[in-house]
Amino acid sequence: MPYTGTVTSAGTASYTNNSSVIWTAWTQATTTTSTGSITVPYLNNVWNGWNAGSVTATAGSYYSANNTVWINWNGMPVARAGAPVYVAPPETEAARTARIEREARYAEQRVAQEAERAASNRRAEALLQAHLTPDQQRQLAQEDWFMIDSKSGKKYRINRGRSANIDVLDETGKVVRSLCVHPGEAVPDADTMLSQALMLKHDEEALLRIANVHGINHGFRRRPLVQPAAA
Amino acid sequence: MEIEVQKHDGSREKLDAEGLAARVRAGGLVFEIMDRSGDVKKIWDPTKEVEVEDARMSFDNLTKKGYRAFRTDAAGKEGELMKTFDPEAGRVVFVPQMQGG
Repeated sequence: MPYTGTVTSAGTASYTNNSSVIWTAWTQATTTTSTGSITVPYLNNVWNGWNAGSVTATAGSYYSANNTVWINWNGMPVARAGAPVYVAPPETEAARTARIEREARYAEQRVAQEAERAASNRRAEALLQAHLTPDQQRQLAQEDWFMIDSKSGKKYRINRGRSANIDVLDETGKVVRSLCVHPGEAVPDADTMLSQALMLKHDEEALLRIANVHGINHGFRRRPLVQPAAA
Repeated sequence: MEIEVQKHDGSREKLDAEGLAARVRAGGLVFEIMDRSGDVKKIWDPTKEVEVEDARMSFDNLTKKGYRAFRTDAAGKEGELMKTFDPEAGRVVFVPQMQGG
């Protein structure tokens, strides 16, 4: 039973045509007074009302207190006197105990999930390493990528990652485009990289049919793109 | 790093990388099936008919689900795409169905 309270009309403008009232007050930046000076009463009043616990409003009929602003904002366009409003009940001792236990359980689950994820990453990394040549292992350790020479003669660079992490290189080693293709299942990144490597080596055409092609400076790149210097 | 391998009888054995490669060199059939946990490794003895049949069923089920099977050598360096089951494939990596991203 979430709606247990009732809006009381605390301000003259709170519950009549409230949408225009709020918007007008919010956006009205300046007002010229009778003495000619410029003030910003309504803008400040809305802001103050929003932040403060209570505000005494004298400049106009736009609001009376922060609660009114909030209620009007949420109640648009039908807020009216007598409309139900949610008031959170005070937390009982039993509810507090249950909440603390629940939070502790979630924290334990997060720790277990993290440990499981770390173990998954270790297994995937070992599988990847087992299928790389010593040169590729060195490249991965030093550069965070490794090269694949496909049977078609094309050169690819697989960067650590999952999305758009395959660079297609020309004969000078310059990246000309990137490919995005990965297992549908959410496997660790190292598994993704091994999948890509195996397909580029042994099923290149199928990978190229599936892959989406990206420009070289796409948003998934984890490190700035470095191109070889022009000859 | 220790590698856990599932055997045909459901038991599990822990090997290191060299131990696994030695099993493959000795004629063992190893499936490395990628999943969220990294991968699951299963080992079969190709001299036992019941194990070969079990491996064949596993191969067929996985490829029907869209997995690609890549035969690799004992050290896991060279390989080829497998379209049909071969009990003498040695080490086989199963890659889940790929999709463009």
